[in-house]
Amino acid sequence: MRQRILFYIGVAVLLGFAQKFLLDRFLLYGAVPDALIIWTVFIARREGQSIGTTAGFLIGLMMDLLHGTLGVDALSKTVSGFSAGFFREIDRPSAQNEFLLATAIASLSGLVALNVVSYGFTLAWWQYLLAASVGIGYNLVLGYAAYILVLKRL
Amino acid sequence: MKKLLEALLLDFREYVLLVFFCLLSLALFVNQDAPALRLLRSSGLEVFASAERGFGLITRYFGLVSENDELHRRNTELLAELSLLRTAQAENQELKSLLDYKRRTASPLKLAQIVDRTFSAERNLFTINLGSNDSVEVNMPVLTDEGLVGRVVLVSPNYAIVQPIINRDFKVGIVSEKTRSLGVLTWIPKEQLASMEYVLLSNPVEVGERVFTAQFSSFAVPNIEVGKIVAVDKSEAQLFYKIRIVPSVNFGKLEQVFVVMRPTDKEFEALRRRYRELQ
Repeated sequence: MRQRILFYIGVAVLLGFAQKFLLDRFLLYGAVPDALIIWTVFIARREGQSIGTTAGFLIGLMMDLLHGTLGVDALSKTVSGFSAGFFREIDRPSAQNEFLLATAIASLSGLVALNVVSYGFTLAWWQYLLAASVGIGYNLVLGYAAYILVLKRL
Repeated sequence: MKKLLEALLLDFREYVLLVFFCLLSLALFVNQDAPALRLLRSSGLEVFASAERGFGLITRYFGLVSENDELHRRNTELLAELSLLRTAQAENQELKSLLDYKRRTASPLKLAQIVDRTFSAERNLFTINLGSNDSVEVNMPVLTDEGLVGRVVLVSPNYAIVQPIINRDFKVGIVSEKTRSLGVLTWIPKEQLASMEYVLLSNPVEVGERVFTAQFSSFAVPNIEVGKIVAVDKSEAQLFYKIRIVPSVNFGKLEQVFVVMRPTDKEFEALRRRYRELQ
């Protein structure tokens, strides 16, 4: 178990830097592809909702330290981890579809939490909708690629 | 009571965790300017900006950097001189020469490299490679040869976070070049334009006028160009104009900036803080 936790932490730190140095550059309509959500979903599905929620909070806190604004990412990823925990991995054959569904739900719930804390209700409704759509789309593409290439083998 | 606690911790553990972490996140968000959390953010910034700078160096063209920096510095100095000349033309020459003697003395500038940007629809932030070891302080203005960029809001030993004009929380006192109307500049994320607030309808304002930082700005040196008025509308407003401004700095291409090494007026800051406490 300890080895697994160290593995989760190591990958999260690497992904945090990749997110900051690379993926954050793809900002489109207020959304970016979020590798940390994919990782949170993976942890939550494998370990369950409690660990998923805790992992989401810690990963979010790490991203907050990278971004310089405390609390926003922590809240968003906590909600994402909790949402993804509902899709705990039990049935291997349908794992890919469940993983993508969990990614979409976790992205949506995380983006809602992020926007509520960051902007309140100051933006137009279509701006929230656009940000959510782009964010979910980005994460589904990233999640699919990550699942096919790496995650299904872990 | 014990059973209720057991039930909460066993049956609803996930929900208890969710509520706990959400409250903790919100507490961090609300209190992030508390001294301990500022220290934590500064330390985080220091670690991650150091790493990011290492990555950034790979992509830089070493041979051209020093020449480019020198040209930018010279450009900014010339812009500062030009701004002072424009103001001198618009105001009473004699009085100005006496009152603005100190103001015209060029403030020392320090060149900084932008090592990181936090992109967001509303709260953009930059990280620069100067910090408290370089005598950079919170509230020091940041500019380029094109005009005002923003101000320093957080400092670590070797890095500082700059809050630019294109941040919803940024505010600065400004004055129009020709009609000398005073107002406060804020960023309107929805329109991707800045707004000049609190200009009374009784004051004349014209489209095409440039705006500069005003004397009463709490952090910026006066007469730094900020932008250009592109729309003036008084149909929707009742007491004030609705004025829109395009920033003069192209934030998409920003790589180097200058920090104006003007230390904060401690007495003035203490007075403002005292007034806020009395409110």
